[in-house]
Amino acid sequence: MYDVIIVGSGAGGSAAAYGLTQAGHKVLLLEAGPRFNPATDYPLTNSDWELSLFPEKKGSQGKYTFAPMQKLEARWQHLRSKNSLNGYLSPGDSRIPSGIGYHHVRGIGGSTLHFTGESHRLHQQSMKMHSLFGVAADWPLTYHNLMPYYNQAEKLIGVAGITNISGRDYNGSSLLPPHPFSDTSRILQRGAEKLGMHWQANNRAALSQAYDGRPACNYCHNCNRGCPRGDKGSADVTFIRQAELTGKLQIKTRLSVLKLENDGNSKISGVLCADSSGQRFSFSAPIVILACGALETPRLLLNSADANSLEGLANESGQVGKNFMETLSWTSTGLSNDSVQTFKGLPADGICWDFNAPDSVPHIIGGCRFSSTTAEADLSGPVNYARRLVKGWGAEFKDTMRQQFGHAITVGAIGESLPNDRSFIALDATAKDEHGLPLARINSYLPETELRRLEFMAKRCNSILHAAGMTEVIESYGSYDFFSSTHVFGTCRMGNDSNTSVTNSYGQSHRWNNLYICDASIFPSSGGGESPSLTIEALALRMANSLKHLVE
Amino acid sequence: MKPLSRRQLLVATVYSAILPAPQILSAGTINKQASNHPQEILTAMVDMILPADQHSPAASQLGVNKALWQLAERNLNLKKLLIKGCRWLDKESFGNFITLPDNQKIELLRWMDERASPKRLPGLFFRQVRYHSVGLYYATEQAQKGLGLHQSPQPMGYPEIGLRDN
Ligand SMILES: Cc1cc2nc3c(=O)[nH]c(=O)nc-3n(C[C@H](O)[C@H](O)[C@H](O)COP(=O)(O)OP(=O)(O)OC[C@H]3O[C@@H](n4cnc5c(N)ncnc54)[C@H](O)[C@@H]3O)c2cc1C
Ligand code: SF4
Repeated sequence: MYDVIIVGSGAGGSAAAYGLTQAGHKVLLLEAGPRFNPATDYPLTNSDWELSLFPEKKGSQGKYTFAPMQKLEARWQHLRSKNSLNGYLSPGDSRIPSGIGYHHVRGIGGSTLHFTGESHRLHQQSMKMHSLFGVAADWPLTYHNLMPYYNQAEKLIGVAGITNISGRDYNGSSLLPPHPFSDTSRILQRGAEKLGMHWQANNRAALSQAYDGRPACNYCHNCNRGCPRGDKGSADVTFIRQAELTGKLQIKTRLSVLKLENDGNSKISGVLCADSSGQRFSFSAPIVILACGALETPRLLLNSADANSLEGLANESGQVGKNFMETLSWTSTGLSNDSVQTFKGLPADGICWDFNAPDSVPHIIGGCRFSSTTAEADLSGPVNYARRLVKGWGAEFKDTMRQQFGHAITVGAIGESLPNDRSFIALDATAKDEHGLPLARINSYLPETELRRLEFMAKRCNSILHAAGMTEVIESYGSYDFFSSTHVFGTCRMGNDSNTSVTNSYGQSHRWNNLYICDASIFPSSGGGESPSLTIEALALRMANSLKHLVE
Repeated sequence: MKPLSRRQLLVATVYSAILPAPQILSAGTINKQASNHPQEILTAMVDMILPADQHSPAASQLGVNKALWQLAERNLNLKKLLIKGCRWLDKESFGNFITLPDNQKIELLRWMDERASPKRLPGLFFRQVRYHSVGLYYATEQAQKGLGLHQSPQPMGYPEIGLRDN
């Protein structure tokens, strides 16, 4: 009945659904989470909008556990997160998850519903980390293999931005004009340029003009709370919407896939799932594609172990769950004396790529980038100023609020996350979900190299603020003491060698011919701070293109 | 600030039970009759934290005291902390925080904010009440107007940013 089953509708699953339905295939998309309605679910019109983040609906959050993380050390004390009001933000002497730790959404569109919408292509050298620098693994495809699919994804989404970015070839691209800078970016540009750094418009999945039946962005500064206008290029209003228009896509929400069944030979024969009441269903199709994200895809494969695959499905190489790469990040916040209103504008509208090449950070392999991050630091409204930035209480406090509201400037950095033996996803030995299946357990460790890169990122962020005229860093927040990941990768690495990788360059399992993976788990390396969605989508479109004729 | 944990609450209240209460205010007569309801004490406290001025009303006029109590009704640890904290406040105020003159209320709250350990009842209580009340206050339209902020992010947004040149 269906040509293809896709599990998970985030960046990867949605783009695959788009590519396959465009080619005329009948696709069944199974999604564990609910559908969100941009017009009614994102309450940015209410005065108390700031009291909640991205809305939660039944089933829109997954569950995970964490293995104990590393002890904090006196020599890295300067990398601890702190705030001028509350002091050090992590209470103990070990690294801990910040809130849920792995920030994600389950729903049609997956984590792109909550994402900022930075739309990046990888630096070409970031795909050759092993052959050029002896770390991580090489991608089994080149930038130029991916380029047509980058072009296709950007065009479909309506990415606004620029093409003169070092380390990338934008030949054949058709971007919308870049967005004008917010006050945050103007101030940070001043600081960065004083340090000899280049501040450019960031490429953004947010419309700079009406496009494809969607309105232009109105610069409300709140992409992470969900865009009620639908101009943010989350997967639901782009890939999924277009795929649904073909009439070839059937979506089933709130249906968790529990296990993949196999024929004992070379094929996946069935997909077993359950709804929230526990009722079970089974589906089959000639092709099965997993796109559950870099935590849930390896979990599903490991939970699908059976007599034919004792160590987990598609795990002949032993790499399922290994090579977990997280978000290495830092933010520094200051208060500007300029006359500014930093709660206005598009989040993450400016960026510096100067240190993005893998060998551009002095003495450390693995790059990073710097960007305007006031919105991601959740400094878009007065509640967070009052709670985090402005000291005191009483009449004086209210006066200070009036003077300082709108003046917070946050600069952020995201850096390369290199795989290491102590960072991996495994099945939890005791904790189970509502269907009785083991949860994914996150093991995360930051070795010396990562901490040195983080230290570089932190120092630069502080220098940019100082050069931009801010005397004091009033809040800093980073990965040293908090696990806080929005980008996760690597746990089903792709490669040419079936002994060291799970899939080939099209995301096809080396062993199970009709099993494909098209989420961030197949990344062999993370890139030097690039946001991953556009690359996930380009990979999924390339995979879908390769399946064009296979199904027939 | 993180949501109040059960452990934090235990540590804070155990300490406050063993330690002698600090002599913050100069001597006064103990009013043994007074037994204010925690909600009344909180109303007085949030109005000291967020008083009225020419730009915006006091916290209780915007319903912050009621919203804070509603929050506590859904969070048992917070409710216990508020009840114990209010009891402590009354005790330190010669039996009645509400009738203390404003300068003495300020003296007491300043001690809780600046001198009391955040791990013990008075310090933890103050910080939690401040954290929640400033949040609830600036989530209201009138408090936002007092800051010169005349709209929520949507539906208007800030389209003037789109007219700029880089
Ligand atoms: C706050 C935030 C900001 C971000 N900002 C950016 C940004 O600016 N730019 C960028 O490129 N990226 C950004 N990201 C990251 C980006 O959203 C993710 O990298 C991307 O969405 C990952 O795509 P994915 O397909 O791998 O997984 P996801 O998008 O997470 O989708 C996985 C989907 O699979 C479903 N699923 C999981 N298990 C099952 C199962 N067993 N059965 C059925 N369904 C299942 C989930 O419910 C989910 O919908 C951000 C993320 C967050 C949280
Ligand atoms: S800033 Fe623009 S893209 Fe982001 S939520 Fe607001 S309107 Fe949507």
